[in-house]
Amino acid sequence: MKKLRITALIALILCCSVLIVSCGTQTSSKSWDLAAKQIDIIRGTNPEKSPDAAKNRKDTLVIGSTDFNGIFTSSWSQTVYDQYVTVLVQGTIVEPDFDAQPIPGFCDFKISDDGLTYTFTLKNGVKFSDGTPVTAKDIEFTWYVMCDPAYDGDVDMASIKIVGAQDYMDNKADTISGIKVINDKTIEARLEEVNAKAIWILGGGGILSKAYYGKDYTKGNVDGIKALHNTPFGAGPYKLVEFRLGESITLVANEHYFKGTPKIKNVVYSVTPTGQELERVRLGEVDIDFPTVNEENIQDAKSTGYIDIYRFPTNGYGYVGFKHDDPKYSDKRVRQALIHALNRKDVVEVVYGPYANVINIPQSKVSWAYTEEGINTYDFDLAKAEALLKEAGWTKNAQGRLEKDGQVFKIVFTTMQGHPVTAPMLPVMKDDYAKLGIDLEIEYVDWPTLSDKVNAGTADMWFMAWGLVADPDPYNIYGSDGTQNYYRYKNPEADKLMKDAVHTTDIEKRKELYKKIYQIFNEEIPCIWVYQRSDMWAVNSRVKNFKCSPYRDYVYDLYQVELAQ
Amino acid sequence: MKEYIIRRLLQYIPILIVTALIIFTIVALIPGDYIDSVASSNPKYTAEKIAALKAKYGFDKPILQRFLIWIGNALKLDFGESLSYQRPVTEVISYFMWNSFYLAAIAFLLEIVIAIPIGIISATRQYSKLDFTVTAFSMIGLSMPSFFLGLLLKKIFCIDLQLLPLAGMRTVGVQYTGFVAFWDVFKHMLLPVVVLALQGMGSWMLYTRSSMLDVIKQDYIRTARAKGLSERVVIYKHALRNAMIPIVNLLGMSIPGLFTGAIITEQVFAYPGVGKAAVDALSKRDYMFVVGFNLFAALMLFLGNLLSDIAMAMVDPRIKLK
Repeated sequence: MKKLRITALIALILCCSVLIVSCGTQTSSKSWDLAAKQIDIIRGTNPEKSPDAAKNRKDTLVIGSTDFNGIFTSSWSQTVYDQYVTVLVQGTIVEPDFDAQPIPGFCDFKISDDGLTYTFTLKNGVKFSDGTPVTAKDIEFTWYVMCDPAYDGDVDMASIKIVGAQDYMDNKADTISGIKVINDKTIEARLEEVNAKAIWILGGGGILSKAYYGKDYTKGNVDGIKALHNTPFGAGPYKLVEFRLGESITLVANEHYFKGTPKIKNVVYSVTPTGQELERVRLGEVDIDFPTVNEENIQDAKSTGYIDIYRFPTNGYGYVGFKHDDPKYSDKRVRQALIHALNRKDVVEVVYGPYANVINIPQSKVSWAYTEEGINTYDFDLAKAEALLKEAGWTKNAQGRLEKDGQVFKIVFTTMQGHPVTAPMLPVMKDDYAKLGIDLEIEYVDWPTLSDKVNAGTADMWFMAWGLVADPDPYNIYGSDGTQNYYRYKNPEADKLMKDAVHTTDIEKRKELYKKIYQIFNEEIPCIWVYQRSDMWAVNSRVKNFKCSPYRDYVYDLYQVELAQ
Repeated sequence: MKEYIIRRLLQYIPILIVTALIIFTIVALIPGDYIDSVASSNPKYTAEKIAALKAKYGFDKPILQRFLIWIGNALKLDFGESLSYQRPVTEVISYFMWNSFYLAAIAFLLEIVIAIPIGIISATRQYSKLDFTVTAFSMIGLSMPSFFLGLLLKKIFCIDLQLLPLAGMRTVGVQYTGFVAFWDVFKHMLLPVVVLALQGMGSWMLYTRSSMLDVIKQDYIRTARAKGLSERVVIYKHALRNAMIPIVNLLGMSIPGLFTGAIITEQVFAYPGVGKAAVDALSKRDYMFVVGFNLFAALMLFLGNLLSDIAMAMVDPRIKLK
């Protein structure tokens, strides 16, 4: 589950993409009410009990983390913790706001009325950590690197179709005609077609210094840049001073940061063994860590008196998938029967207690696109499931097994050994499905094998989780020719609605469209959605001004965080 | 002797290539690759991006072709790039290797210094109370899973008594120098060292004990006793020297293994060693690293064999290396 959680988070961080960008420049982050964003904060009642180990670190904040890969170059870093460090060192051109809209980071931005031209203007005083000013040339360099044929990070510059970019990638041109430096502070990118995700692809990352990263770089060879992965340089709030692989990362405040020198001088990341996150905060070894949300951890944190809990809905959901091209799943009544026969409420209750909820559409309850209108909740109901199966032509044979056209209903469920969700879920599921006459067999594999089987379409039924992105467009996952439509779900009507919803920037129109889309999904059951759970940060109470949300990670506001003395 | 070592080292080259082929094939046959495992819950990956990355890393080529490319580079001492760390495999291994070595070497010294004398004593007093205690203790040490022992010690010393730190190799967020810095690392390494040593000690005690028992039953020991030599001389001069031959053999074999890490113990203590890195790499399908690491482990095993042969020749005058 750890792995799933992390990949989900990576997804979250990497792909916050929002369509509502036509409103142009906004000046600052809106004031925000954590509670209104469904962030549940429990403050420590007795902060002075904090252990000396923590209190003695007067100007240093320690954050527990999973292991690092040490790829701290914007647009290359992959894991969530590498991303945190990258954002702290290199900042971002635009930042996600608490409601997931893009707001200016280093640059103010403007999108032309036709939605094709993006103009970025550097704010005053944006400097690299050595004091040299950031210029539009650096942004140009950053974009060119992402368009390099040898670039092997995961930002898909090709997908936004900058004018001339494809020719550059194919080595048919030496420059990209759609990227124009207007002056020292201003740069423009022109696209061939409207693409709502462009703002995040162009501006979601940091700015690479041409002087630093460009010195050993020529088109077609990015090794010179990759050699600097461990020693990042940028204009973000912190500078990386020491990196010990597998151990720790030491950052120190950048006094040239354009929003002012960060209040805490040193920030250190320290690798925490899996499962001991809360214990390390309790002992004062770290100030902040990311424990799993469950009743035990919340109780333990509360009982210390000096740990603040920030709990918020995870941007993602767990689901049970199956392939629609398999005849036994092709009838929607069968799929409805399968969801009715899975006691999702009890399973979720057992695994996450009150800190997760059953979902019936593939969307976070935090999102603006979320709806409950016309949504069937598919409560646990074996009788209904039985009736639906009968309607679909499945009848019990002499052995009490469901049979149709001589085929017995048999499911092979692929999962990982000891998985926190499937371990308690499968026995219940097997039992209830057996009552309907469905034989459920379980096959155990490891995570990459599961990914492979699901990709290749050789898994019959499986459990996985999706990370949700800020933009609700689910075409990649539920569209007929979506890249990651592992279910092989096809519905022309939903396809059309999904396409329409991306080709408008009017949020009210989009809400209506997504409501229709979710109603179709809810009726058709492309997969069995199981739950949306919560994540939490456990934070020593001496840390003041800490802010986090599902969309805007704490790193964006870390420069304002203070330590109570 | 020199000639012998060179000849042996040259013999290892074809063996290593065959080993590499086996390792490479096994690793390549594991289902799922790095890109799949990164992409399958990240909806950002487009089909084009996945295909482009797979082509770039060569995942789309047949295994034999991939192996030939890899072995070609390996002969030039280029073992490829770790996908998750995006640095040369050799660099990643040599970084973690030393952390693992410090930990394992200290534990190893402890094991030897404590276990061998105890093994000898317990052999000379076979079936005494001491012997039973030692044997029982060795069995417990041998059979106790390291994750269990590690977590148990952590619970007692880190969480309940709060005497020792929970994880890592150094206290972060403070700048220690000189003795304090040493003391800090010492405190962090204490528990993992104890876990490793307790586990290793058992086998060394048993080896020493049984080897010693074998020798003590030999005719020449009886002869030595019959000559009227004191028990001390009999045991420590005549018996011990011969009993040490298989032990020295094992010692030689163990030393290179100290570099290849203690997978579970490192994991439990979040100790930045090569064993932990290798397991992480396997679960991420970081092929190049897994292949590189396994080959490194194989190389260490060969070196161990060589070392033990040399050590044998040194302690046993009957053996001549040619």
